[in-house]
Amino acid sequence: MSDPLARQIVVNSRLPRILGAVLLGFVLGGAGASLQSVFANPLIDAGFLGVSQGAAFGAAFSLVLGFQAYSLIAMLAFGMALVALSLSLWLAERFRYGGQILRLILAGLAVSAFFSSLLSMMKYVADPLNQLPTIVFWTMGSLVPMNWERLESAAPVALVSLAVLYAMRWRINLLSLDDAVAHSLGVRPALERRIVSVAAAAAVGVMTAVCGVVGWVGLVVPQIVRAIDGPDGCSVLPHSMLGGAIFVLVSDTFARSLFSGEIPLGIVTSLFGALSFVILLTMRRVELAR
Amino acid sequence: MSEEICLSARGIVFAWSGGQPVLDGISLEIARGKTLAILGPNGAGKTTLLSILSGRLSPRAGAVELDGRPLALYSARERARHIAFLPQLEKLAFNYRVLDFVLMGRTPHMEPLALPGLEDRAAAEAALASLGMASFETRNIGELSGGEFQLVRLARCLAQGASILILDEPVSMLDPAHARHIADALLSLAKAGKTILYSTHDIGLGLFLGGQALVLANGKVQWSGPTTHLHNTDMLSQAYGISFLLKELPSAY
Repeated sequence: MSDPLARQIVVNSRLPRILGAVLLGFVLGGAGASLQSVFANPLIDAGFLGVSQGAAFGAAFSLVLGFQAYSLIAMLAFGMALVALSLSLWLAERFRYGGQILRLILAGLAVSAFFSSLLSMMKYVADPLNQLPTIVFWTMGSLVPMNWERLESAAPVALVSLAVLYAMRWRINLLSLDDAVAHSLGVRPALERRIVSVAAAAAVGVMTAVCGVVGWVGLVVPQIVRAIDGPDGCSVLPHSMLGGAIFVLVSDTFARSLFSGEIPLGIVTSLFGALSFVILLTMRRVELAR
Repeated sequence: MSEEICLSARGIVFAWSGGQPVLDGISLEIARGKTLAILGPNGAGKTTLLSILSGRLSPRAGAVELDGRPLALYSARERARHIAFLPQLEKLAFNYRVLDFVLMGRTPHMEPLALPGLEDRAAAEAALASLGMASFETRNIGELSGGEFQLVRLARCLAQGASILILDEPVSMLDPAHARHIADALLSLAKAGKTILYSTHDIGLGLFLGGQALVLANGKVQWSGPTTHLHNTDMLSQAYGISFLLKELPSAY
């Protein structure tokens, strides 16, 4: 590449954006697949458990506080993602309505709504000239602001979390079984479920801090993967990571090129995700075995 | 020759928080390679007792010993190599392939983050074959009938390689043909030296499998003895609170 300007655009703009899209896709696909397995619930993802909204609130809060360093923003987003996850799990245990799957969805809905309202409050108190547009644009999810600094602030936690999830790819099968069965097999389901969900929430939390809220990828991609090559975690987890990366890259390409001005990535993934979800459910490909 | 006791319970007391004792001073023991049926009305505490004997619940008082050592001192993995527990019901969120499902039984023999190896695969295939289910390996769980699913679950227990099988109502909700198929499989396992503890409402199953029986009522052992004595209608009437008649009826066993 002889043209220094082209080189600069590729190295400083295109490359971090592509790598960011791949990492985001890996995280969303991997977190969705593992959370669905360990909570024995194919209808959840990090967004449904309040993790994305918790991270969104954490990041908006840090922006309102005037934090500039991405590592600080990422830390607060990560912390709030864990708080939201813990709240969802705690409430699901205590709800007195519905079975385990419905209770978890309802708890996630309530926690998401709670953090959405806190996020709205942050928008209300944010400086309307500087902070508010940043928060609003960012909650729609976008890879536009991705640069090396942002990528470097999120990558270590995201990569370690992905490594943990990958290492647990066969164990997540065991955690999808009833607790009594998992216990009989020598598994400690509560502990191992916590390890997987903290790793998933941490990865989603830090990526949300740098990319904003990008929904539906973690819900839809693992279901497509399962419909193609079965539910075994050994294939579902890596394939969901790869599928998530492809989904985000394609969505980002649409986001950049669909109109003359770029549209936020979160809008495109939600559109594609919701359509795929409806098609999958109509085709009855989301199977609850027994 | 004295029998070697592999699993015993002494003075087991258990109550859910704030409630009346579900089990109130239960003691039992089972010798290696023998069969013990646990009977009793609904709510008598059969499932709770099996959960305690398999180490899933801890008793309020009393102790469970496995091979003369307190069960609580075994690591989860070590315990799982000795005892396989099959709950009465099992919900499954994902439609696993039968062989992948049975392979999960190999967990206590694998390193924590390892994937199943050739040896594990061979053990899972052998477990399915021993129950006449070899041809089901590539089927999906969602395609199986209730009886076939029960056999596949039993195969997972066998793949676990545990010498003690604890089964909660293994033939409930099965038609007579599948109940008989499971009963035949359990009889073969008992003859092959497995120690089998099971709860059941099916007195015929107890008579078919033989061995010892124990009747629980109101959290206590109402009666215990050889299954051949389960014909004792007075004892059954006392345990279940209804009168029993001894009749000659068609039986799958």
